Amino acid sequence: MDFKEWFCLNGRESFTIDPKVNPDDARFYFGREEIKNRIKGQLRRSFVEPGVPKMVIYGSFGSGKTQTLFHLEHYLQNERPEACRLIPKILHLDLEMHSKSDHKGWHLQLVETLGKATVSTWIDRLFSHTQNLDTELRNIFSNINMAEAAKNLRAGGDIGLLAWRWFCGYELKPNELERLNVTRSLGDLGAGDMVNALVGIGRLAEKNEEKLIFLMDEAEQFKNVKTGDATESLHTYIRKLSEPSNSSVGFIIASYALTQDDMAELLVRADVRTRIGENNFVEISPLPSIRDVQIFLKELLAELVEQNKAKQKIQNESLGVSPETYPFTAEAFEMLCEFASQDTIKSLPRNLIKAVNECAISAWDERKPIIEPNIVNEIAPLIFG
Amino acid sequence: MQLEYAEVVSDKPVQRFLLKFYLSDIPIENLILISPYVSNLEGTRVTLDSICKKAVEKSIPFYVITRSPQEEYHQQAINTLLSYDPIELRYNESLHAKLYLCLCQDESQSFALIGSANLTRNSIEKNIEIAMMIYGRGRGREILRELSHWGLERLRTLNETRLVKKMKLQRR
Repeated sequence: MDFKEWFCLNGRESFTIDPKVNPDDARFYFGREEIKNRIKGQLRRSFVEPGVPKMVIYGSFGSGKTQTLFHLEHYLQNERPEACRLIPKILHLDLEMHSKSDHKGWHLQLVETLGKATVSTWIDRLFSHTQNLDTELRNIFSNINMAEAAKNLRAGGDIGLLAWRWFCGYELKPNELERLNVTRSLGDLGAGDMVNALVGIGRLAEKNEEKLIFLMDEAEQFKNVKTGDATESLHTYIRKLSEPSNSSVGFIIASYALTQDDMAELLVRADVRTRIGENNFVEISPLPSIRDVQIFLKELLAELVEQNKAKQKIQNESLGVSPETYPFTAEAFEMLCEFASQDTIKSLPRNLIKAVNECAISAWDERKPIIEPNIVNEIAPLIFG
Repeated sequence: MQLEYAEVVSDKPVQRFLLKFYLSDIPIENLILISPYVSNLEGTRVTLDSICKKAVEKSIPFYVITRSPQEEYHQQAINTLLSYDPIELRYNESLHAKLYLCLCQDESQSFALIGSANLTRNSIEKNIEIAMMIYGRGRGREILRELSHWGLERLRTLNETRLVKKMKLQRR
């Protein structure tokens, strides 16, 4: 018998959940009804036309920011809000910034996450539905250079690649610009121009019945930027992207921060905050009370343990534990909840999951069918102490 | 513009990993060393003893999975590991993998080394070794997560993996 069978695990090797490793884990969001409902409510409202989600979530390491992003993707894909009439096209991006990163680096990451193939396919589809692609693209991008570059994305080989490089914001040589029939590189006019191109791509997505939404994790990386000019250009980029006039490119940004003021300064300047809206800055806090910890753990166990198998095991082996807390005895479960809620800074989902897993490994080492208080007493201080 | 998340290391890969761990001053959540053979690394820049001392000083949970020792040098290393509290030691006789993981509170700072090199002085000073260093950024983060699931959960809970010493940690 292996660990998985020993604890009647439901199609998984351990008690760990991680949507980056197992995409199906995105459906989980344990024990945080208030935050979940608040974010989902904000999301539903954000789609009321003409609108798109613009949100910033923040919290400490292990508070569940990444899980929140993946869960929101799962929500949008599977329970699309009524106000969202188009199919959400959701793209994940772990932001990477260094001391000299500027708006060009951010733009490049966003556009590359989207990918040339996706944008080319949208233009191809548009071409098959329209009488005049040139006019259609000019209406979408409201800019002749962008329309020309977009048209060239349909071309194969060198020209298609050049057009993509143009949209990525690379500096092109004069003869390359000429081949694309454009008069300048995208980055020449600054951050606003790049946002306009991205928003244009968002409108192109809408013409293809899709709504572009970026989920950007690790926004604390903005703090790595040390150059004043680079910071200003990034600030301009986020400010323009947050403008009410952008109704085609949505974003949810996740950042490590214990308070709003702890975030990268460019994200919390007044002009950005007012555009995004105070309500759309959401803290993913630790689980505040013992009751929250209990709910979190019970919901986690209910999902990760195969309930029928566990009930049968409890009965057959006369284990004397409730299926609700299995594989923990009632006393061990309460003890774990108490340990976890002693210090609210440490009552984080990551720590709770780790504690359950380590307790189970410890029981497995001794080939014990259930987790008793002595195991919790040994493991919990290592994690919450 | 993407920063590198993986790097080939052909010059003393294990020493490179250990130095990075030893010299870093960021909060570390776990150190996991998986190697069929382990030595005290005496005479190299970072000895096993100094790694253990750092784990004690910083209260870093430290996991070691190796084979049961058959040679004197391996037994000496095991004796070192047994003498420190925050170390969990396990044996697996089928172990052939060499994986070294340093998991940090800030995931982007985490790193791992996976390759041919054992945790021995020979692998640092004598053998020709090749390894990949993986960093917790971009695609590297997913790889690190998979490696840590494998090392911290899958390998530790295999039937043939035997617990030799439990971890004891001072309250942080």
